Amino acid sequence: MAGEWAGLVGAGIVVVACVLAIFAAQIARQSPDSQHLLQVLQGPSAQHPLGTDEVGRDVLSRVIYGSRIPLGVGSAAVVLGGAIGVALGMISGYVGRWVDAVLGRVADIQLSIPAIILAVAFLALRGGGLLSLVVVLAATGWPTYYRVVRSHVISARTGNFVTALSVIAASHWRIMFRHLIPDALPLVVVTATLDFSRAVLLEAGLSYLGLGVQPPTPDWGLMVASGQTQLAGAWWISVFPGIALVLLLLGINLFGDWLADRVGRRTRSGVLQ
Amino acid sequence: MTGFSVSGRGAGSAASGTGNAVAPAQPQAGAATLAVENLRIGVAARGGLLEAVKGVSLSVGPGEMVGLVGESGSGKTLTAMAVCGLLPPRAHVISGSIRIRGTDALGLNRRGWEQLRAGQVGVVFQDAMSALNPRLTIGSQVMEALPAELRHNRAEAKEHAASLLADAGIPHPRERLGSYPHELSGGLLQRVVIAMAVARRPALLVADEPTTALDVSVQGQILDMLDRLRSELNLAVLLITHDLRLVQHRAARTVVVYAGEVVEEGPTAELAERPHHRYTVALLEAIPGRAPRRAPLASIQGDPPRLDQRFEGCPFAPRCSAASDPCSTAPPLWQVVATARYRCWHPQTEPLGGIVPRPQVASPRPPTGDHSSASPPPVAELVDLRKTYRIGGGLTHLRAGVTAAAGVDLDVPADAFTGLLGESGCGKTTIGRLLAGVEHPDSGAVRFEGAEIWSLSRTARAAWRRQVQLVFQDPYSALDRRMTVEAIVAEPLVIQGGLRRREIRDRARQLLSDVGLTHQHWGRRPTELSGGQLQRVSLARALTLAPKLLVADEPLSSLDVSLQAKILDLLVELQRRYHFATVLISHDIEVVRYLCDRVSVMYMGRIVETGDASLILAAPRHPYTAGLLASLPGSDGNGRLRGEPPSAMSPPSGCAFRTRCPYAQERCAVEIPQLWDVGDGGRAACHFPLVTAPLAGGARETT
Repeated sequence: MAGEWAGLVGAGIVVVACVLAIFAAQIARQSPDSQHLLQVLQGPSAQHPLGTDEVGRDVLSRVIYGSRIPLGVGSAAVVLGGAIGVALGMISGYVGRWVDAVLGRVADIQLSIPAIILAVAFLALRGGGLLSLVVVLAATGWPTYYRVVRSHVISARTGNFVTALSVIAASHWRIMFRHLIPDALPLVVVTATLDFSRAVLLEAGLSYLGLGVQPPTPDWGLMVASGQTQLAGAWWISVFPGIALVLLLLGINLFGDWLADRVGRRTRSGVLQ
Repeated sequence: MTGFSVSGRGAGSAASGTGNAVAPAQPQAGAATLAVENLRIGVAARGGLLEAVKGVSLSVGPGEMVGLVGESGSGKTLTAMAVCGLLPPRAHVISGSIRIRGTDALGLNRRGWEQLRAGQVGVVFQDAMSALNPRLTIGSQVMEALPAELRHNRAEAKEHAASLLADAGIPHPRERLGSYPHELSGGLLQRVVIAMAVARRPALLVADEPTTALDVSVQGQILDMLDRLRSELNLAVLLITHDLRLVQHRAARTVVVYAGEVVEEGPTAELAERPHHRYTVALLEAIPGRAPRRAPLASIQGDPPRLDQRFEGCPFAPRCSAASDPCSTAPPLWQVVATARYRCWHPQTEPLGGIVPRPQVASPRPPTGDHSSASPPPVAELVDLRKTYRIGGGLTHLRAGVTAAAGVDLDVPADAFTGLLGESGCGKTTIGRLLAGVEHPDSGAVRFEGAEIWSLSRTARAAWRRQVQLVFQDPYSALDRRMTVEAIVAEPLVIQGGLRRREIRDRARQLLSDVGLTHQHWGRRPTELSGGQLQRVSLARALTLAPKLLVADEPLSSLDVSLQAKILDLLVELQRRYHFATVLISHDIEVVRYLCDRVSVMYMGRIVETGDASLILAAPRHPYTAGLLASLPGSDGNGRLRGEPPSAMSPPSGCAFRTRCPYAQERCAVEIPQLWDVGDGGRAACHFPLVTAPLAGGARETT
């Protein structure tokens, strides 16, 4: 089926990106930071397949190393935001009543503030840096997990699932951690893939605006920004990291769609077709 | 045709049609409204093409109702879909022919089908709610179904729509036109759907399980209405159902399908009285109403056939108790007997005696076990229990309360079956949940072995929790689908603690084999099991902690007839072995009569009648119980309940049943009747209880 192929291609792209990020030092032939002032703004050639930038750094090496920041920051943000969202969603759905009302409004408020504006404000005050980026991405990402987990828990609670567990004297702890969270995990994973692509894109955007990581760290968003002034003469400085970003996002989304399809087929609602 | 005195309505008028007049083996293709011949339908699956329908032939003449009866997986729904040209994308017709009023329907393109459906075929599905658009009024949807020439003038169209609804038996049709689907009950919605299906005066109506989701009382009313439309409009009706009782008195002929093949067909009355094929026999025997109390029901072994199963001989052979050599090797040939035909190597020779439930004559039977007058205290009791659910709220809607329990007293005797009977929404599920302690009452007491469960100490409460277990209607929703069957059954013991892993495993396996699941099932997960197997798993889990009270909430209603019979047999056997009290919550009188020692009948949050089950269900004293009994499928319909229960948000004054009661008097509107002793140890909440069997006339006792 076509869906299966798209999923495979997506997974392949993501795997390649991860391998590049982890083994950048082994894969890249040149250092991303070594400047060769005699070789500035050279077009793609055998020695520099993707050309060189305005201070003579190898664009290919920088694109390879540049995968580290989006992937690393994106993963950290997904883990942090996911943990917060899953925990709060679990509590909100399970306890209900005023706890649910309060947490629900907090999530609503969070979602009503555009992520980019919040990020700009936060980073402008706190300054850039990896930690700030992760925090801001997690803070804007958690409500999605919260909502997914909350509604899943509520449907399990209003159905017979939780009742059936409580009549065999299962503790709240057991119901939540041994049954409800594992039960919701497939949905959380799907949410995470979508959130991951959001985080990668936002990170690139913030770095492009100069609010994320700072030069000379190799980063796709930053590279697009720095090559912008040279776009007419040396298009490769901006275009190649841009293509890398597009490919990664495409890969994540293809993979995420495929995953969502599979999970949809296997969850409670989907299993009976 | 003894025992089918009402043939004037159903079978009688249809006899003038084509079906009965000719031998069923050669249906008269020209005259029949619907003629299906040798229809084979394939379903695309992972392993290739599966043949789900293997050569089905049937015909329906004008003004005739034909029942197509089979369990899930029999191919009955696929056949119906093919007849309507609505096969799902994965299924297609391999060969055969479908003729509707002489038109070869299989030769049509999409557009042709649409025209044929618009003009000639009406379709009614099981779930009326999903067949209607929730955002449009009933009126606009019915008007949309009218033929184009009637839609030009809006006022006229409205008039037509109202008269259609009136024909379908909807009270106050003009006001209903402005209602939205969610404002109507399931029974009324199904009437609307049927009204729409016949709006263009089709020649053929295909009704796929039209009453399965409805209460028995409403079920009978809807089928009566279909029957009336059939004769008024000279409509050919194909009624698809899993329940042989429903076609009784209504369908002139019945076609029984199994594993995609027709195994027997003939006039319904004859089929019920004198079935030939062993499968038909087994289906009839599985109906609990026919059997003496707790006599083993299930003569069908194993599970319904899967689509990917292939059969050399008779498809029913692997499950047939009479099967022998030729059955599993050579396909049986058609045998024609008078107006019926069947395919079986070992046909039943004795007549079976019909579907009509034999009223077990009220012989004051000493209750089984030792819980009579000098009985030990009940294992659980409810005292003046009240529970009201708040619904609505928010800014725009007024808060309203739905009373699910309005002062319920109930004793649950130990080591016996107690039935809790009533239509949907009567509060029986709430009572079950209150008994099981998963719901907190507003007032009143829930006692278990004499102690109020909500004031138990922590340790006592933990001990109590293990003593009371619940079984749900839909086991799939209650089980963790990631766990293996063995782990699911072992979990209560794991939580309880104090046992070694091996001991826990052995106990779980013991229970699983007690409920009839062999080692090949132990490692499976809920998604890999059938509905019957899942209900076995949930029974095993409920019994893991050796409870003293089992509350089973409609444990059978989602199962096929043959599986239902097996679970009933299993319940009887388990209770005999483990000695627990069971509260069986059910809308099915026959199941309660078959299984239960005592019964309490509920109506709108109150118990209206309670006592010995075999006495009450043979000679009810409360008119509501009598009405329920008269509404049973297969009974002749005299004294059937009228209408539907009123809204629980605004119950009638006095006796809640008075709006549907044929005997209601002024006093009923003023004074709420209390349960009082009406003799034979039974108690009824009625000012004017029945004195003799109501079916025989309903003489009154004045107080």
